[in-house]
Formats: sequence, structure tokens, C-alpha cells
Amino acid sequence: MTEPLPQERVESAVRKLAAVHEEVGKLVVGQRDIIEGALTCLITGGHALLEGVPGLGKTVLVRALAQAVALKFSRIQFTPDLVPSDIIGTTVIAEDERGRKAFTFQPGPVFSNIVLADEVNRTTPKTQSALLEAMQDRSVTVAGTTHMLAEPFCVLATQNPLEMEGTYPLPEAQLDRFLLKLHVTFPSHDDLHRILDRTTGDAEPSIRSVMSHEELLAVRATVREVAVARHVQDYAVRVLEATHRDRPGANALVKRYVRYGASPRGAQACLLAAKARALLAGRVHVSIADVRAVALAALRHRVILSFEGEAEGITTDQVLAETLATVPESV
Amino acid sequence: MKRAAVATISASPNVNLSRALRAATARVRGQRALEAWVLLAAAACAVLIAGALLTGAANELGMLAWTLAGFVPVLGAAVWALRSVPILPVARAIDRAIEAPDLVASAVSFAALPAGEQTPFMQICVAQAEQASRQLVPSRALAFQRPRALPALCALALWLIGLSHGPSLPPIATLATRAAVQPALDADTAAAFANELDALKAQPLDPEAAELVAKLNALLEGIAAGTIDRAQALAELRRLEEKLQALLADDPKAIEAALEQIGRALAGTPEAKPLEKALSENWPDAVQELKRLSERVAEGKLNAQAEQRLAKSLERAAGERASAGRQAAVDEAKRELDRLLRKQEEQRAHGGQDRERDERLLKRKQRELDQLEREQEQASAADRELDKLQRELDAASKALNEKDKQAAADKLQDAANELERAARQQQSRSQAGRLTEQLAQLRAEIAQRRGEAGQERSGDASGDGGSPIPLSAQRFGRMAQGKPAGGEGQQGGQPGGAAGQQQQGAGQGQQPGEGSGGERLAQLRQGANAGPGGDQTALLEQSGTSDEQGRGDGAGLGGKPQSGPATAGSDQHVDTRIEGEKRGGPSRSEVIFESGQRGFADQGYAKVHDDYARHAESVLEREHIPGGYRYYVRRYFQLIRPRESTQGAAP
Repeated sequence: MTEPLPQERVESAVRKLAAVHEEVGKLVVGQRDIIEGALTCLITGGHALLEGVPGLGKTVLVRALAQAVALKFSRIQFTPDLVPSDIIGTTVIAEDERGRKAFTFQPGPVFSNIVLADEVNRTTPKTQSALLEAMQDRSVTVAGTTHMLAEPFCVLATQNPLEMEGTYPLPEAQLDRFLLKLHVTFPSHDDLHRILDRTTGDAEPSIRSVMSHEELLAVRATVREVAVARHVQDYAVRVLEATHRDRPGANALVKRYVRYGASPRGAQACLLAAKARALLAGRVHVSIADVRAVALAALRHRVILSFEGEAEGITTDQVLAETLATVPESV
Repeated sequence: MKRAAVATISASPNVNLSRALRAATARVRGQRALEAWVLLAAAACAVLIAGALLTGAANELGMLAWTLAGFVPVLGAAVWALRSVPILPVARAIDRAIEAPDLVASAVSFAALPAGEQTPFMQICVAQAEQASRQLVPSRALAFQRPRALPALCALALWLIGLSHGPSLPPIATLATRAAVQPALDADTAAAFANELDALKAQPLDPEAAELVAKLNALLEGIAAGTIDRAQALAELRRLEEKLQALLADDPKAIEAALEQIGRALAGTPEAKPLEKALSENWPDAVQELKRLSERVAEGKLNAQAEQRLAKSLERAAGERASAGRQAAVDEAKRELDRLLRKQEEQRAHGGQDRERDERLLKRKQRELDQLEREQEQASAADRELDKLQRELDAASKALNEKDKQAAADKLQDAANELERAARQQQSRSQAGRLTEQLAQLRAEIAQRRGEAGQERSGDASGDGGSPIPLSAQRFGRMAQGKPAGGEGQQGGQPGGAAGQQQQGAGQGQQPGEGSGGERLAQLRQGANAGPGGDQTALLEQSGTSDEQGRGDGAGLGGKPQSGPATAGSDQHVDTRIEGEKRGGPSRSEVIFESGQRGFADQGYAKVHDDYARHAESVLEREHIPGGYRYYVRRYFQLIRPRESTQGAAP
């Protein structure tokens, strides 16, 4: 079998991704950026943290995405009494056909292609750590045995920003492991009408599987090939540097309210997400506009505000918006 | 096979892309040149306009200026256009034109890489850029934009054209000078001074006085017209005063006294009785009387006895010397001073007790001697002034003794002429005195107008070695200090006088006991000028001591120190220091101490943080606190938690 031309691979990826987008759009009304963000994480091998109030369709989105790409999907509802073994699995004594008993590993829900970690901030840090370790290493170790997770592996975690009672906010080090943090916003007036039309009738939309497991892996390989010119990469680096209060390019807001700027992983996330966005748009090169478009989602959870900033109600989105406005596109 | 296709794309020479970039670069250069030319042309126009305003006419700028103004923008534009153009902004401009974000810019970046480092996607990008640039129309992609400085250039160019074709304007230097003119006086005040001068002009004037009056008149006219500013006016006043000083070198009083002496010498002769009276009262009448006497002698209307009486009287008059009596007084004063000096030395040798009184007496005598010597000098000057007159009288006396009536009459006629000349000179001095007073008033008025009279006086004095202070102000100052206006008293009713004499008078006036009435006037005037008249008072302070002009500490400035007693605090308090006791119980003081003294305390901080965080958590559990606020408390403890690196080091 001959290897397809790069252009063909790009066109195929664009086609497939557009089909996935369309399928997800059958269930999820509006939220185009969120769908794109979730797709971005899926095709770049990253994980996404979806933040939004209950009822905005976060779970529906993840479920629809899993159905559209025909991947194994599992959902974990995080509660305070959840323990790590509930997620990663445990060894149990099992009896074989000949009646011999032996310890066998019973995989947890993390052994799926797409894991929906619902309300991830409601469980204890210990359990959170178990999931986040699996996200980072793409493997789990139980009873001294390391078990590799399936590929692709994508965690789409959700959290509710309002109900803080009894929650365990994710530490910054663990937040850094999410490629994107997506804010699920309230739908518009028209979108609300469409949601009602689709969900209160007798016909429930069904999701077709439009992308196979192999196709997804091929797309993931294609994303990495998207070319980035030096000036675009330089822009991403300058944006990242500008989130640090002691670096040149930092604006007044950063200098006053930011405790720590984004880590280099933020620049990686930014560029990778920009590549995915370029591919979604059918381009083989990343533009500065791509970087600008994904910068908020890629960096908002990596910038740590000072206490003064939090007390004054400053958000990382405000800081980043100001940074993007002040960093010149070319020097 | 597929790889070969890609290679074909990469091997293509990217002709269209290169062409598009070249065209875009050329347009960038053109735009740059246009911007630079417009900016420099506007600057050149501004320079030409400035030059035209300075010289008064654009036509006078010269060919070189116009050539430079035309050449420099062209040269600047060329230099600016030929500077290297960064390719990235050009490529991004093309991208904006073809609405392909960063396509050409990325393609240019990828094309610059060695062929081995170019990935297939990069080659596709270059190929796409090559294809996109084929349809590129540079003029549409990079349309020339209107230079930002174009409106300014148009405005300046129009102005310059107007200047070069319009009527010549006065040079800006003149305008600036005019604008900077500080009016010496307002027109009304200048006119008032001019009216006063008209009264003086109405009188017959000595040529020198007439010249001075004309100059003063011109000065007043200049002030009224605003063509002479304050500094010029003061300088001109100083020059006029110097000329007046020369005119008033001789003391008119000494001459008057000498003529009175001559008149008294003629007193014993009935024939010369009218002449004696006229000499003491009215000099023009004296001239007429002397001429009449000459005619009577010539016509032989006097008998022999009368002629002899007249001859003797004339001989006495000719022998009178104004300085004769004064010399004796001077000699006597010198002797008295010597006696006092000797006495003082003797007392000093014998340890006398009343040295202070002798010192005062000695000083007073010294001042008297100085005064007498000055009067003697002036009398000698008067003698010289009247010497010819007396010679003529002497010759007439001799001719009468020799019975040569005609010769005697002629000599009397000559004496009359000489007296007439002296009378004219005296009149001239009188006019000069009035003129001096007017100048002084004018100067004082100008100084007051500025409101900084004291400083100005100081400045003027340093400029010409101490020009005189306005006479009226001097007089006022002396009286304000409670000292008699000595100069005025000496001159009697004569208006004005030389400034030098005025100063001399002021020196005499400092002597205690002389010049009564000054103190009262001073009080009255100080009362009138108290309060806001700070400048006026400063002027008085300076003019009080004529040799210390410009000392600017005026009365009325500064506040009076609080004279009342300080508020006495009735309450009593005692500071008590209570030492704390350190016991064995748990304390955080060590941590707080370390944090305050040596910066952040790593030791124990982790434990302290945990303790406090736990305590805060327990309070949050126990108390009814809204969820949002609980979040902030917890978040706070999260933010101040020990760093991971130091946490381990904590005990």
C-alpha cells in the first residue's frame, strides 16, 4: 500500500475532523470552541479540563465525541469517597477453570480511550493524583506491575466553578497536565431554542461513528507534522514570556497580579493546539492567528495569580487577554 | 513515486513568490521614500518659513537655502528608501492582501531552510504560497498610503508660498523685540511728565539745558509711544543725569552769596544803591542797573564826589572774595580739631574716663570741618566764576580814579555783560535743578512701576558705579528713617540740586539733632506705605544710606513671632515599661522574630502554616461562613503554603 501524499493526508484529516465535528454538533448545540477544543485534545494526545456550571452539556459533549470517533468511553463520577483503585483498577483473587486461585488485575475505568472525569475537583487529592499520574505517564502501576493505557487516551475532566463546598481544587502542578482548560459558557438565546427543539421532541438524534481508531491515530500523526515558521513560534514564546512578571514584555497587569507565569509546557500546549487548529482549518502551517486563538485555553490554567489578584477578582483570562493585546506579532 | 512529486514542488524556483516579494519590497521602498520625502519637505518648509520670518521676506533667503530645501528631502527619501527592507513584514503584508494568514510569511521562512530540513508540509506551504502569489497584484496588496505628514506639508507649503508672494513682513526679531519691550511707563504718566516739561521749555533756556530738555522730551515721547522700554529709559535717564551733574558742578548758592557780598560792598554809595538791592534780589535787574550806571558815568551825570564814592565802592566790591571769610573758619575748625585730638591723646595716655564723649565730639568736629572745607571749595569756585566781573569792576574803579569816564563806563558795561552771563548761567543751573528733579521723579516712577525698585537700584548701581537714587526718594527715605533731610535744608528753597550734593546732604543729615521734623514725617509716610507697599519701603531702606544702595531688606516683610506664652500642658503622664516573662509554654514569637529580622523563616514555617491552616479549617467547619468566603480562606492558605523545596527542610 502506497503512502498517501501529505496533501492527501491533510485533506483526509480535515474531512474526518469536519465529520466528527458535524456529528458532535448533532447533540451539542453551539459551543463550537468547546467542540474544537475537545477535538484538539483528542488529536494531539492531550487532556482537557472543562469548566462550567452544571447543565451546559459537558458530559453530553464528551459522550458524543467518544461515539463519533468509535472509541472506548468511560465515565467516572468523582466523589469524596472515591479511592484511586476505583479509577485505575485493582488486583483481585480470581479462580481459573481448574479451580486455582490467583491475583489478577481488574482494570479500572481509566483503561478507556476517552475518560470523562466528571467533577474532578470533588474527590480527594490522593485520587486526583492517581488520575493525573495516569494522564501524564499513560500507564498505571498496581501491585508492582505497570499496565499501559490504551492509545489514544484522552481525559476530559469537568469541574463546577460555583460549588466550592467540599471540593478539592486541583493544584497548579496537576492543572498543568491538562492541554487546554475550556470554559463552557452559557448558550445563546438561539442556541437555547435549538437545544429545546432537539431534546424535547420524540426524535432523539443519534451519533454515527465517522472516524475509526486507526484514522484517529493517523490524524494525530498528521497534526504533529503541521509546519511552524520561526516567527510564529517566536510569537508563542514571547506570549509565554510575557506571562512572567520578571520577563521583558510583561504588562502592568502581569507585574501586579501574577505570581507565577505559565510553564514551558504552556508553550508546548499552545503550539500543539495551534497546529490542531491549523489542521482543522485545512492548513499545513500554523499562523499567528492560530496561536492567538488557542492561547487563552492553553495558558489560563497555567498562570497563577497572586493573592492580591484573586482578592481583587482578577481572572487569568483578563491577564492573558491583556498580554495578547500587548505582545506585538512581529519584532 | 509520491515522494518525487513532492520533490518537484520543492525544486520549483518559486518564481511567482520571489516576484511578488520583490514587487512588494519595491512598493514598501516607494512608500518609505514618499513618507520620508513628505516629512523632510515639511521640515524644510518649516525651516524656510522660520528663515523668512526672521529675515522679513522669503525672497531674501537666498538661492542656497531654496536649493537645500529642495535637495535635502530628495536625498533623505532616497536614503530612507534604500535602507534594507525586512522581508517578514513584507510577506505578512502580502498575506493580509491575499487573506491567507501567515502563508507567504511561513513560506519565506521555510524556503530559507536547507532542502534537507524542509518537511513535506513546509514544501506544501511554499507551493501554496507560490500559487497564491501568482494572482497577487502588488498595487492592490500594498497600495500606497497617504503619508501622515502630507496635511502638514500642504499647510506649510501654502504658508511659504504666501510668504514668498505676499508683502514683506517685519522680521520676527523685531516682533520679538517689540513683544519683549517692557513698557517703562503708561502713556498717561509719560504725558503728564511731558506737560511738566513743557512749562520748563516755555522759559528761555541755556543751550545746554535746552539740549537736555530736548533729550528728555524725546525720551518721554519714546516711552509714551512704547518704542523705548524700561531698561532703555533707565539708561537714557542715567546719561541725562550725568550731563546734569556736569552742569551743576558749581554751587549756585555760593555764587549768590558772592554776588550778595559784592552788593553789600556797593552799599555805601547812593549811586549804586539800586544795584546793591538788585544783586541780592534779582540778577536781571542788577544787569540793567549796572548798564544804567555805566550810561550815567559815560554821560557825566555823576559829580566828582559821586564818582570818587563810586570808585571806592567798586574797588571794595572788586576786592570781595567769597572764600575769604570761609578760609578763616576752616582754619579755626582745623585748629579746634587738632586741639581735640591732642586732648584725646593726652586723656588716652592718662586713662581718661570720658573718652566716649570726646570721641563723639571729635567726630562732630571732623564733620564740621569737612562741611566747611566743602563750602570753602564751593566758594572758591564761585570766586573763579565771578573773577572777571570783579576785574571789570576793579578796572572801572581805576578808570574813575583816573577821571577816564568813558573807560570807566566801558568797564562797567563789560561788568554788566559779565553779570548777565553769570545770571544766565545761574538760570541755567536753576533749570538744570528742576530738570534733575523731574528726572528723579521719572526714575522713581519707572522703578515703582516695576515693583522691584530696590533690586533695580542695586542693578543700576553696580552697572555704573552707583548712579544716584531718585532725589525725592532719597529725601523721603531720610525722613522715613527719622533723619533730617540735610541736603534739602542746605539748599533752602532752591528746587532740586545735584545728586552728589544731595547725597552729601544726606550724610550731614545723619548727625543727631539736626533736621528736626523729619521723624514725624517719616512716621506719617511709613503709615501711609505700610502693608502692601513692600516695594516702596524697600526703596526707602536703601535710600536712607546713600553709600549702601541695593540692600533690599524692606520693612513690613516677614511675620511677627508668636509673642504669647506657650500652652502649658496641665496633664501629667508617666511612661511605664512592663517587661514580659518568658515561660515554657508554646510560642510563635521565635518564628515571627525570625521573619521580621532575617526575612522569611524557613525553619518551622511549614509547621506553623499547617497549624494555622488546620485551625482555620476547624473554624470554617465550626462557624456558619458562606461557601464563597470559605473558598477565599482556603485559597489564601493555599497561596501562602510553604514551597515544596523548603517544605522538606522544615522540622
